[in-house]
Amino acid sequence: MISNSFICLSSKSFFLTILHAVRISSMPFAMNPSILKEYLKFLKNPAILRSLVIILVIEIILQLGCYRKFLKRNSYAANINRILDHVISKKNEMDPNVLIVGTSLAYQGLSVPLLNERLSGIGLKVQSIAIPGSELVVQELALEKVLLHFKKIRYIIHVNEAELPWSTDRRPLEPTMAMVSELDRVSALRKLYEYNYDVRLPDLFFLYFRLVAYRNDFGDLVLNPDKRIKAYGRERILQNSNFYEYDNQKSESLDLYDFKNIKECLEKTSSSSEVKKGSDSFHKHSIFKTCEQAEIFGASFSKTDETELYFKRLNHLYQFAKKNDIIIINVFQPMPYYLDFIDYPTRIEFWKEHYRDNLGNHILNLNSIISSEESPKYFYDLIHLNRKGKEIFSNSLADSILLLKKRGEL
Amino acid sequence: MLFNSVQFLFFLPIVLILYFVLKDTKQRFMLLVASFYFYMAWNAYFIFLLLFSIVIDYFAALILSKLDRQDPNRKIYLIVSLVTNLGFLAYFKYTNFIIEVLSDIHLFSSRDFTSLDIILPVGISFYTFQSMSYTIDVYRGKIEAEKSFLDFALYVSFFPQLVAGPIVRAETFFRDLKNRLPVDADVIRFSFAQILLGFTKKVVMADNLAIVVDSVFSNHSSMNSIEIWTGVFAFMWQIYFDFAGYTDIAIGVARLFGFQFDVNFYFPFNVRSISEHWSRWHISFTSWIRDYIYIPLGGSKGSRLLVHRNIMITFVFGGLWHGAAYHFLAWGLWHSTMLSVEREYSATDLSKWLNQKGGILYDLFCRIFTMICLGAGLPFFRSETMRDAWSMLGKMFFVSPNSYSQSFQNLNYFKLVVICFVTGYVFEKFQLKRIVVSTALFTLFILGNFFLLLSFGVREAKNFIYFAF
Repeated sequence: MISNSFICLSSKSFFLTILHAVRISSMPFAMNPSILKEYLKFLKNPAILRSLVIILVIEIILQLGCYRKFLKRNSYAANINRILDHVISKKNEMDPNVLIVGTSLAYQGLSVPLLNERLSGIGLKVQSIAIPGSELVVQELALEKVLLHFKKIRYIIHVNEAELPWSTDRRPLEPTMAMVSELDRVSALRKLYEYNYDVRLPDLFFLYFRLVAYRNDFGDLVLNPDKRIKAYGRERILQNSNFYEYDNQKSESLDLYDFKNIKECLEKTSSSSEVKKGSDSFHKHSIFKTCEQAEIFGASFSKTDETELYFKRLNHLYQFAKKNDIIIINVFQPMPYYLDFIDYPTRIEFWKEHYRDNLGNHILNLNSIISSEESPKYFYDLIHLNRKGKEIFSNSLADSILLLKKRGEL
Repeated sequence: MLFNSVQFLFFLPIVLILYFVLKDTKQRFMLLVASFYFYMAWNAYFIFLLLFSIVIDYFAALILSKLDRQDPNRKIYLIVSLVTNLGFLAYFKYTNFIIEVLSDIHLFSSRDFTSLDIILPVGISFYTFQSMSYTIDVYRGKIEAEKSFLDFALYVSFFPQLVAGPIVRAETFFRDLKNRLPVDADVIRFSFAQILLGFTKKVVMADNLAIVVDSVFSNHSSMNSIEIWTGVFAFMWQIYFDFAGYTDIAIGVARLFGFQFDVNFYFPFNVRSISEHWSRWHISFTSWIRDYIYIPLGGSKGSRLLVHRNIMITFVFGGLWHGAAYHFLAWGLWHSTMLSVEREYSATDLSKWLNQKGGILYDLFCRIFTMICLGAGLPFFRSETMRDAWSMLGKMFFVSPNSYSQSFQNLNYFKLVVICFVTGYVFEKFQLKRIVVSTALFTLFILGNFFLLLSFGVREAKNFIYFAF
């Protein structure tokens, strides 16, 4: 502290000395004209000017959106563009009154065709704008964008992650910035402040300059041009004609690696371990990453400033929905808590007890619809469901909604 | 303050503007204040240490220049200066090492030694060496003592070279201070290119290689020989890009103020011998230990045994200058051994014959062999302990049992090292002077560096490695 104040003092005295020196040396301010001329001459150097013009032209091209289609497949920016553009483009086939909002849990865990099949009888049309890796601010901005196109939305199914309040960050994460910069950027900046993010100058550069926002993408393009060209070609050939953007078909499951705790999971899925039959390296890595996360989060939790902030943000999203006369159905998805790495049931109770006011109009706790013993078969990794798990979760959600309707609560 | 920080982006233009607004004494005073501020941005208290060193050396040199060359008291004033500088260095850098050594040899076996919590003042090894070289040169009558305290203080603390060199000789600095070199559009262009290249070397090359290096040196126990060699070569390039990057920025910035510092690196790894490596690596430091340690010890004069002794003392000192630990001592010994062997070999008929008749094959062999020898010393340089260094060397040379492990996880890292080698070669081959005069090449250079920094630059501002020395 003393050191800091010393630095403040010294920086103050530094500038005072300089101000004094300037005052006594020359009034009015008189920079050596010849050196000024030399610096101007340098700035007028054709190479400098050409470079600036080229950078400016590239930025304008990027601002016009010409590069959007070439973004790395499955990057955060590409994902949000692909999902929202697809959903909006299929409006004629599917003009929904129910929207699924959430992260990869909802993206992988819920089947849009199956829900439509089950719920069409009660007049519900379901579409999903769940985006992998999206924080609440991204979800709100995505919702804001699609609501301009979909005027009939009455319900939102919001899939929550029980562990999220303990992993909140004050600084906007790079994936979040990558996604919000693809949406309405004026609104995005306002909402970042409203969501109490610590927005700094580099974030503004990220938000408004495409060269900055796409810098990692350019790096990947330079390192893997062949993969990018192949992915682009494949995407052009395999056009998605379904009204839904994605339906999880992953058949790999946790039981292939047969572990009983997180330590075992990390050992059996580490980079040096073998890929089991029926699995692949992506699957193994995915399990490893989620186990790594589980180890970091640990089982302990309590009410902190971060949890408060998370629920303030959640409240912001729900208030936005309510302003648009939308009813929120709050859903907790199943978890493989046989591993006992995180005490999910207690965490969900924590949500309910401490933050009852913030939760949606309807709370559907589907956390334990898959039994502990059975769960390894239905999970792709520690948090995401596979195809079979998705079917169970989607059917169970449909049953719950039908029950709500039957009771007249919907 | 780090060159690769947002602070510096504001600091440099402000100081440059003031520099061109002010004149003579005010200008130099402003530079001194700016240099102190630059240093204090790291730790304000250690400025007193720097000031103390400046005051002692200033007065010691003044007195030395006034005394007759035959006066026996001259030696006392030189010793005062050396003891002050080396005393600070010994206390801040070597106290814990001395305690460790005493404890290891059980000199005070009845006592329990614990290391002291001493913060190493950044740049102390650089500015004390710079200051000492000045008093030694005055003592030898090589240069006149500087009368102006302001100028001398500026020589020791000039911010571009204060914390990580290059170690500028008083002769060079005062020559430029008295007759400042003109700064015209061509100089600005060249300096801009050099600063930009320095940032690319640091933020793009060194900081990305750091990821590989950190991974290998912290997980070497589970890695095989090839993986460890990959990490070692990655470290070789990391320290080069890191330090050469810092020096490029320092030289470029100094030139904007009218100072011309000498080249400090010249492609030091694509060399035919260890001695050639040392003539191209950290040149300001190598010439310092040559002029102030090796030559006073007798240099290459005297018997072969004496010459080998001189080489060993010089490089043990060089090793310990980099850090107070056994592994730095071992690194210094490794280099002195290699230089001694090389000296003996180069005197043989076989060496002379191969140099004449060996052609390109022998040339290539020498370069690869030198690189392997340099790499073999690096586990000593980078490891935390001697035990780690020996363990890595065991695997590198297939002595450890699991050196042959089949899995190779670092293929991408290996590619990265190859890229670094090629890039390093290109940086040196296409000299900046040639690039900046051609509009097309300079445009490509600016755009290339801009996109490299944008796409591959490591965003988190990392310290320069040589700050620790």
